[in-house]
Amino acid sequence: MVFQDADSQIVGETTREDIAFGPENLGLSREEISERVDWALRVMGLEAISEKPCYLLSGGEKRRLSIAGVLAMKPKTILFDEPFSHLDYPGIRDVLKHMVDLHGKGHTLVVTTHDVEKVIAHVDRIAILHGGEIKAAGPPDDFISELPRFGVRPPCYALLGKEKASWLNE
Amino acid sequence: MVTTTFLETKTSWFILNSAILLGLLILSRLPMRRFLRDFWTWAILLFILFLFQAFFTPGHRLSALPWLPISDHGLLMGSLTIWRLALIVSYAVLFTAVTRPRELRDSLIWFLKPFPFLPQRRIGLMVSLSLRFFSLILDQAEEVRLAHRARLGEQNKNPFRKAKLMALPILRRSLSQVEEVTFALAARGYRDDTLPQLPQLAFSNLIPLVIFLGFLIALW
Repeated sequence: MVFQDADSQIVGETTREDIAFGPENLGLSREEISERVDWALRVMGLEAISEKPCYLLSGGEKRRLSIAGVLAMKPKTILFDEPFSHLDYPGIRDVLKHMVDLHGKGHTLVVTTHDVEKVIAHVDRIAILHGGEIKAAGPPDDFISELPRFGVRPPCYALLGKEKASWLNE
Repeated sequence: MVTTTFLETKTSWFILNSAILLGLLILSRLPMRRFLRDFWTWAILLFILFLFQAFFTPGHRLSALPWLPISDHGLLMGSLTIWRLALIVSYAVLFTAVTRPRELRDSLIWFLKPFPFLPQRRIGLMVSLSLRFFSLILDQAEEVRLAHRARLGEQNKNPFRKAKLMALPILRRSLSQVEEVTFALAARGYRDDTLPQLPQLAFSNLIPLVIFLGFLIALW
């Protein structure tokens, strides 16, 4: 799971050490841990800052590090809790791009967010939770019009009656 | 080795320790500005201690300055005391400046290895997290202070009320963060029973041990 507050999730002193935390908990050998860390650094574009102290990372780098730390455990499913909070526009696009790449590589991603605008162009299914219950679930196009009823702002393209637009398109 | 020499009272040991400290400072390549910045607050305390010893130790007054209520014995004792304390503080400052928290944690885990009933990994993780989150708590305290200031909180002169208004938000945020960190550790499969993997000891790290053994043999 990737938490909303990346600082809560980062436990290592450097980027490399934090990513290694998860594989160490799996009891893997030193070589396997090193391999997984190198791979996660490569996938999330963190190789250049592998020895950087975590407290010096930007918001976007911390979010990518959180994802890398989870990725190094080779999960089939990754949960994201408000992954775009406290990120600027380039940071949001960067994290979204990596999420779409991970999905493309076969990982199942479950994203909880109030800001559907950023992800709705890429998701296969949505589930609307309200008052602790799932009120609706299915393809996003079937439920976009229902979103305001549950206090969720529909994406701009839906409000303006335009084609579906991704935040990755410029 | 250095710690045991601090028990000595002869000036020659202080000179030896000072020379070792200077050598270590040069070897560490620690910027002098950084060293002095960390040492500065201690220097003020040491100066106050020196003044106490100089003024309140009984003895003959200085012949050159008889009007000054300082004894020559007080000057000598004060100088030796702050020299000893300055050396202790300098070694501590140097040690913390050049030692990475990871190395401290690994050393602690290594020392705890002979005690199977102690959760080495948990203790090592607690040390890491304490060091990591101490700076975060200080950042949160600064945020709370600025939030108070934005609402003219500094005009409140009651120290107890000020302390309460500062402490409660920081405590609440820290406890909330503790809960999140607990979940984050669980989400990454943290287990106490996983054996910690310590790095291999480099041969160059054994050189100080050899020097220490040589020192003991020389003393004997």
